[in-house]
Amino acid sequence: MRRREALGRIGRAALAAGVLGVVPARGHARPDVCDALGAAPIRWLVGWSPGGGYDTYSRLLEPVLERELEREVVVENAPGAAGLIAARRISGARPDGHTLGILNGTGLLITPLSNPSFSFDIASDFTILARIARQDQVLFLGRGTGIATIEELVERTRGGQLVLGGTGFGTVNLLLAATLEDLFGMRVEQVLGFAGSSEVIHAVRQGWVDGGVISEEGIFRDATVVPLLRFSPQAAGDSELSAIPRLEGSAGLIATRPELFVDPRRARVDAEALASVTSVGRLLAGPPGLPSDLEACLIGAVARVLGDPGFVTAAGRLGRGLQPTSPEAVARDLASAIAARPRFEAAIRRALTRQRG
Amino acid sequence: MPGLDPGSVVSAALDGLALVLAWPNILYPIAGTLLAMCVAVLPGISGATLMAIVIPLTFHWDTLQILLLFGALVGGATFMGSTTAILFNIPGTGPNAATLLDGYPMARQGRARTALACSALSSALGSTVGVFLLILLIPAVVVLGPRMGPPEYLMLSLWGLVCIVTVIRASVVKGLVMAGFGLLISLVGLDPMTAETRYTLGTIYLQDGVGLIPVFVGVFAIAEIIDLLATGRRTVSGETDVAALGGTTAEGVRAVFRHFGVFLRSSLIGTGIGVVPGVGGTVAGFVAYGEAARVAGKDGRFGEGDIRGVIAPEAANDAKDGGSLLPALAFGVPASAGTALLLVALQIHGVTPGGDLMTNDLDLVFVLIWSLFISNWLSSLLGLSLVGPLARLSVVRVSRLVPPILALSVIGAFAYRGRVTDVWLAFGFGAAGYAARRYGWPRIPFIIAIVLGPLFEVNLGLSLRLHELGRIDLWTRPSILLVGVLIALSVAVPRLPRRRGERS
Repeated sequence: MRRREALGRIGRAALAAGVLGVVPARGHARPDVCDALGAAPIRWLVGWSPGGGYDTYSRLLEPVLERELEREVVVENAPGAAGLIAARRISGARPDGHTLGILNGTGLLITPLSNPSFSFDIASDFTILARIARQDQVLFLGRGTGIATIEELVERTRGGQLVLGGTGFGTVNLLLAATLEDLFGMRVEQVLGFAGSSEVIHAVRQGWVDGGVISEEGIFRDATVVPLLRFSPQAAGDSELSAIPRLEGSAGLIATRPELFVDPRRARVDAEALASVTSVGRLLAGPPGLPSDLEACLIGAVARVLGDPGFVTAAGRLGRGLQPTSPEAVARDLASAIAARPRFEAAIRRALTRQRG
Repeated sequence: MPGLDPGSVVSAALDGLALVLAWPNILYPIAGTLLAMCVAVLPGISGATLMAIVIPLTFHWDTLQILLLFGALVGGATFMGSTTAILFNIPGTGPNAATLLDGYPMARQGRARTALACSALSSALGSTVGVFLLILLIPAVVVLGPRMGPPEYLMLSLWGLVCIVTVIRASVVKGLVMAGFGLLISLVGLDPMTAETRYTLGTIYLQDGVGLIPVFVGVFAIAEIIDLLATGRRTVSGETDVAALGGTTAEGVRAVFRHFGVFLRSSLIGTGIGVVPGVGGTVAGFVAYGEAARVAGKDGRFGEGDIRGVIAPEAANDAKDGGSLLPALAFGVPASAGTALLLVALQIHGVTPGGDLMTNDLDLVFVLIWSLFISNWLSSLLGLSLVGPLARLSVVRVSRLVPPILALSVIGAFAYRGRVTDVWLAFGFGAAGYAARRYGWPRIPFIIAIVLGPLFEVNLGLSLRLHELGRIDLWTRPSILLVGVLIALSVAVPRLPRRRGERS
């Protein structure tokens, strides 16, 4: 086999490189690169454990950003409270450019609906450097349900029950699952508390739940599950996602199959609001109050990193979609998302009340 | 998942072994083990951290290389974590925490050599039992493993909690009170089912609950530092000359065979827990420890330096390792951060966990398992060779030992989640742990309850919800009945009255 033959060629050299590579390279400040940025390393905060999507994006960014800024970038995982702990650290850091990180913008936007005590105003509590990707949220079912299309789902469950699994903390998924009830008229029961999306998929395969809402592209290469509906306005560069029916837009289900919806007019407004909320996506950010020259320098460096061919290729190999977006465009999306947010208060409250019994 | 015939499993296992042993492939598990052992000396820094650092370097690697290296990284860290647990009362990682319950008391009694040797051999042999059981049972495991769900996890945690009663020696009431405190602490944070906040004092920090490693470090390591200083003890062992130490490497090796039943039972528990998707090594260690204590009954001196308290968690931890790769590779459900990162690394190379991998590339699955197996043995053999020098640390004067132990404790508490607050939390639990020790309140039930509480709670909620929705029938699942019988037997064995008789 090719992979076995290749081993002999690479051998010890790769191992030595691996071992040596564990030691981070020291950065050397160059005067013409971001003058306003000190020579100290940059701490890059990730609010989740190693191995997940946010961590993977960050570790792919790290070497390219180091090269762009000529400063050492240290990725630090500060997991907890669905990313809120890292978000608070980024927001509260000194505005010197040495504390940056990645945020779940959509999650931060939705959190106040289920947990009013902990909320951020994304626009004023952070300096947004870019959006790296939207979150492609997809409703999927297990193949064992015998349902292969959204039409079949509506036909078989309208007036009946659909059981969806979730982690309980992913309020975006909670929101999307809860909204299905208003859109299609089935009763959606959520089983929350699974440790992660892998556990939800496992439960789907076993028939303990019918399906779930997930944002990981890899799932759709799995023959045991069927993707049915995409909530995101556009897929993040993954052709497999592009093939999944979407809710809104001229080619969306509401436009092409309005009879599937309980109230197509209301569904259209809901879908636009959902698209708006999910479009905030994964943000690269720093603390508020960065000096304007430093902010401009960091935004420029991040933009170059997101367009770097090596970075784009590596992200593609990992199935991590990219939709680089400027801070100005993110600000516009944020404004419309914040305006849309109250529309979902009732759905979230209903889902949590049912869950809490 | 299609069925597998035993012949093809054995053939794949042999093919996998040949691949691992081929030159230069064998260098990868060796290098990975050494790397993991070096990092594992720092408490709180696990093989997973190392993997996260290594992943970007493996983009251009071959799948086989990744399997060889990552198998070793998953397995290499465990033994070194046990050494800090035994010598300093500091668990290197969560799965090592149960080892300190009796390992450290042995070090205090001057028997560090015995405990270290016993730990090393139990690990290596436990790993062997785990791998060979897996080869024998893989066809059944592939079919039955994924059927284990929330009700089975619930029963598993309930079994562990029932075992708490058996590790209480001083006072049943005190033990139950401490277990209750442990369960209460485990409730701090967001409700896993409803996301409601509980006992968070309005802070974001406590939303995530109380971290296990800071609690372990505090209740055991920092409490021990306070005790060493308060009692004016000269050294951990009480001896200042290594020649005066009791216990030998040979004694530790013999103990494993003398208590072969404990070893075998713990290995079986570890393997069983390993193949259940989503349950980690910390649970395996504590459940095996609790069961060993339960079986020992009045003959045991668990928590006071009973060597069976070292054998059980060490055997279970390493027996679990091989099995835990199976749910990750066959069903894509990782049991730990390490296996989650392994899946990430494999997916970079287009290897998707699932039926195809288990049927068409089973030899590659065994490459990973054998690499981990070799790593377990290698780290244990290196550990055995280091028993003498390591045991010398138990005769180092307390005044010289306290600063590095304190530094390791602080690093361990901080490195767990990268939060300074965790260090303060460790000191808080250190003071509480010292008070508990000083006034005879047992710490083991507290710790076991903290470990098993979340597993119990979330699976109770999931089981009831799935039962309510008609998706799982709690009363007809054979696995529930089986574990239920085990629990009933645990309770029915009339040990508590005999203990009361002893005290009176």
